[in-house]
Amino acid sequence: MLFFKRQWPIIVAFSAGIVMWARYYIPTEQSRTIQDVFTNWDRIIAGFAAALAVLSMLHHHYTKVRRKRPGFAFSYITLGSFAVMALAGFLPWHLPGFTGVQRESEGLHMWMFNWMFVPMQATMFSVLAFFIASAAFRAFRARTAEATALLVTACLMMIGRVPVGEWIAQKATHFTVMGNSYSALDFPALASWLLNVPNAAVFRGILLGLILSYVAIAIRIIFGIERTYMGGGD
Amino acid sequence: MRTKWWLVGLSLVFALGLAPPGPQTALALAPYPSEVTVFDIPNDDGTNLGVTWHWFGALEPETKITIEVEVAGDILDQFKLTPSEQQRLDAARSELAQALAPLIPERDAAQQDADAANDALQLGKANKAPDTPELLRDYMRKQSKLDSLNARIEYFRLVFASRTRARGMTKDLDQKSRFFEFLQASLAQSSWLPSNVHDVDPATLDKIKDHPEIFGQKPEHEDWSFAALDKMLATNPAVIAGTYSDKPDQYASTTPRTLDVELQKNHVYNVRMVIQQPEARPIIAELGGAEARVNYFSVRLLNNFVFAVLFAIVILAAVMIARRNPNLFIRRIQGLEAVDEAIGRATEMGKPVLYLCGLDTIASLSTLAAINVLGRVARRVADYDSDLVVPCRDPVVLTVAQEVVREGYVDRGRPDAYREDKIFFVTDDQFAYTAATCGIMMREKPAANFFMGGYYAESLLLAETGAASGAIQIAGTDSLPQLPFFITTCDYTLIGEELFAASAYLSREPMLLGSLKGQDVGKALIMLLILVQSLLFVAEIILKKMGYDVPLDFLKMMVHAL
Amino acid sequence: MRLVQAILNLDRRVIYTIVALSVAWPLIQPLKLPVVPTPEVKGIFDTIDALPAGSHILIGADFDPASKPELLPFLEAVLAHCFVKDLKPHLLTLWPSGPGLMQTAIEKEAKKFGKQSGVDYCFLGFRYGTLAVVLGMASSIPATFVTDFYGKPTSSMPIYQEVTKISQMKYLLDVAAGATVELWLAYGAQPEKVPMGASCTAVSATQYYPYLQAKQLTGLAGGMKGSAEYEKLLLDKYGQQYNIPPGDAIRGMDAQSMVHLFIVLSIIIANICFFIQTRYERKQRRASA
Repeated sequence: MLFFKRQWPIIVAFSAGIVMWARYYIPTEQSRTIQDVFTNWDRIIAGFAAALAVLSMLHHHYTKVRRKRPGFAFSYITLGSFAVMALAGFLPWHLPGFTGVQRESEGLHMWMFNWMFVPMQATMFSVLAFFIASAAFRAFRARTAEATALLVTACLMMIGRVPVGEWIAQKATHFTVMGNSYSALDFPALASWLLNVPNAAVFRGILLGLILSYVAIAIRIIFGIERTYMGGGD
Repeated sequence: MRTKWWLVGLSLVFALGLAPPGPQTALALAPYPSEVTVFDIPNDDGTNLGVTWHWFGALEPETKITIEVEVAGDILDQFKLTPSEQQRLDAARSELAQALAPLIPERDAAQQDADAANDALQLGKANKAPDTPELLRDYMRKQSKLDSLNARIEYFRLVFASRTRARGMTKDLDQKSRFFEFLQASLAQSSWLPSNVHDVDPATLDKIKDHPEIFGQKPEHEDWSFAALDKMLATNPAVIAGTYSDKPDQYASTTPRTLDVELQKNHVYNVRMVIQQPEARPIIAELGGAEARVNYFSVRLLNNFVFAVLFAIVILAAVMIARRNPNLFIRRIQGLEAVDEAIGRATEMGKPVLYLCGLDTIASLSTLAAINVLGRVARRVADYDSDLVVPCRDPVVLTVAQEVVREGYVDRGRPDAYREDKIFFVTDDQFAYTAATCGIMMREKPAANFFMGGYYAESLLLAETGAASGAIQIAGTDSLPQLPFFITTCDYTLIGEELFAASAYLSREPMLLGSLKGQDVGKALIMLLILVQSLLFVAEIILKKMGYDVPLDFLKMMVHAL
Repeated sequence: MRLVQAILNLDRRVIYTIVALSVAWPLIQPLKLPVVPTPEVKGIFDTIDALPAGSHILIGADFDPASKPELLPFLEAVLAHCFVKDLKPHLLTLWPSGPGLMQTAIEKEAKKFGKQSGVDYCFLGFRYGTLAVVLGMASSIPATFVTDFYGKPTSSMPIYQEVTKISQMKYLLDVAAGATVELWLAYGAQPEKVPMGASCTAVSATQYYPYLQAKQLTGLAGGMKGSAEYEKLLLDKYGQQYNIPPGDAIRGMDAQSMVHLFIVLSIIIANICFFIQTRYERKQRRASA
């Protein structure tokens, strides 16, 4: 039994890793078939993992309700919302007031999606705008040279990436010398330079380091050096 | 792919006009193709034909060319159904026809009824008629009936599809049979089928230099014309019009008008060019043929393979070295030095430590790295007898996290202190998880927050809430867009691969240290190559400006290939 | 000095209120600030505009309602552009909460231009698997998506008699809120040699500039600004002819401008107060010393 818990996952990881790595270099029909088989297995596992996520969520909230843990009332709401949304998506009958069924645009499911789910998700994301404003006000202080560079760059980007920056460049600070037009504060051009030169260079460097890390971890997993995915430490 | 040199030679002979005058298909003198090659384009599945040629002289304006592929008998054979397949197809077709015979007229009638009911409903709505609810119910009834008839028709079609599955290039026997009929109908006119390079202006075609992915950076004959052939077209007008074999009750609703030129091994593919000048008869030039062979190794990925093998050897060698000498140097990472401090602070204040493993699944490497660090943090928390709270977004991550934390406590001799309900699943929705975690932070006010793993838009929400609750915060992520948010709101941030180094840093395990060193070697090599390539480019520019023409192309190509 | 202290210790809720007003006011009273397209967005527009009629485009709309204000206008504009040019978009998503948004967008645009599902476009919907889905589509789209979003079999659709896999597409576009751009690039566009463009949230856009410079992406539209630029390009070229109204992104740029302006001003004011306080404290220390 210990073999299936300890050695067998390593054998599977090694075989699958080597096969999929070798497959990348072999451009034959059989190689493509192997990839198709593995991707189909992956999709099946992903589907079951999705089902597992739903079952885990239901189990967690059901247990909370059964044991009357703090906040169990919200679990009732969660389970009720889940049931209504799921049934609305599955039932093939027209519900009162709705001309569509299941996932049709005029059905209850899409109505709840458009008028409940979308606004709630958009609201959570919108909260970021407030948080960014307060974080920027609190954190962007010119305490050191690096902090000054950070805040100057942030300000240039914020103005350069909105139409008000265009307006400042084209109208407010625009002048012409010997027939050529210039702008004293060309925020969009500055923002573009910042994105295309220092930003791209930095991200390229970080990406290269990251990718090598990914390759190193993949090699460690394939050769059984890294065993965290088995859930028992190294 | 081997080029049939004797065919090329023959083309040359004809091109130079040395052969005696023959029938209309013989080549005349310039401006017609004088040198050609036909080869397979080294794609991953190597399934396209490529043709390159060189125009001997100027072409007349408005000349059009078509490149044709010869369909030999053996290509036709691959679409011929075996007797058992034909039997299976006929049985399935007959079953489908029987099933659909009563359904199709009923469905058509139901469609008409539903359309009429819909028109009446729209009219009623527009005129605000009092019987609009009745009209709506009538429409819903008829639409429901139509939907159920359509569903039954689709069911029978799916059954047909499952009964007629085919192997190879076609999806099912019905399509295979249609391809066969299509080819037969086209071949009735000619065994040469036009390819996707059909009736085109030669000036708009690609040159060899436009395809460095096939011919390299500095190819020979870079100004030669190039065409990739991946389709053959129908020549039979009935097939072109789409009316041939149009049986609506059959599974496939359309007949193919084109066929992919998918190369089969050991076949010879002959290619010719038809040159149509304005107000002249078409001239046909035999370009040559090529035989398809199986490619067992993609040569253009050789540099990739060499680098990957080298890198793997370096990593494994570094691991072996680290086993012998565990005192390898790693530079100080402030965020990791502060882990003990953060946990100590939480213990003093009597508050829990909050640890997040990120929002990705266990398949993500950043989550694995976060789980690694969680193991170390759990051991420290067990040592200090503090509390550890780990809300998880993914059920599989939850299972692994519980196992890792339990092992950490057991490792430190504190299995009694482990509480499974402190490592719990919240939800798998991004912002619901964020809202729940922010709630935990505001209610329980943990003294130390660890944000390790992959994060998305919620990173600022989490970090800002944590900052508002007064906790010391240590973040580590490989999600590059979230780094600025963590840097501005957290006390310490592990940037990119520092997260992956964290496990090695905290545990000092030889295997992990060794692989870290191996990564550094790989990075050093890449940096060296970038530096050398940049210097070569700069040197070339400077030397050219000074008037020297030093051939650095070969060196640049070598470095580029690496 | 008390004013300086008050500003430095300003309650977050005051900042939140001013941000809310900065967003709301331009939406009620539009400022009509100019939106000027950048070369990055033109890269996507020009590539799609140059495609011949009947070309197939694969659009991965990998976002959820949280990113709707930034990315949905771009998706709608691209779909409108495709239908104007008689291109054939294949729309799918790798995010489970995405299909509802895509359904609304494509049905709206298809109805406007009189396009038929299965013939002129196909909405494939969602499948679990992310990487497995992309790899599967490289082999066969009808095998990966046996039915479309509406439950109709894809293999019998006229649109899939013309193309069956990614390599036969003329362009690949990823409208992404997450990290799927690299996924499509590494496993879809590059191996299958299909040109690719991307639209992403403003936060993610910075990390894709290396790919843009390496010409692995033909163009990049970042955030609501990128969507607004695409809408502007579409309006300028085809707005009058096809009666296309200004989109949500162009309208939203006024609000975004005001908020950005407020944040920059607040940073400047905070730093001025910070300097004043630092000098004052230094003076106090010298006086007491």
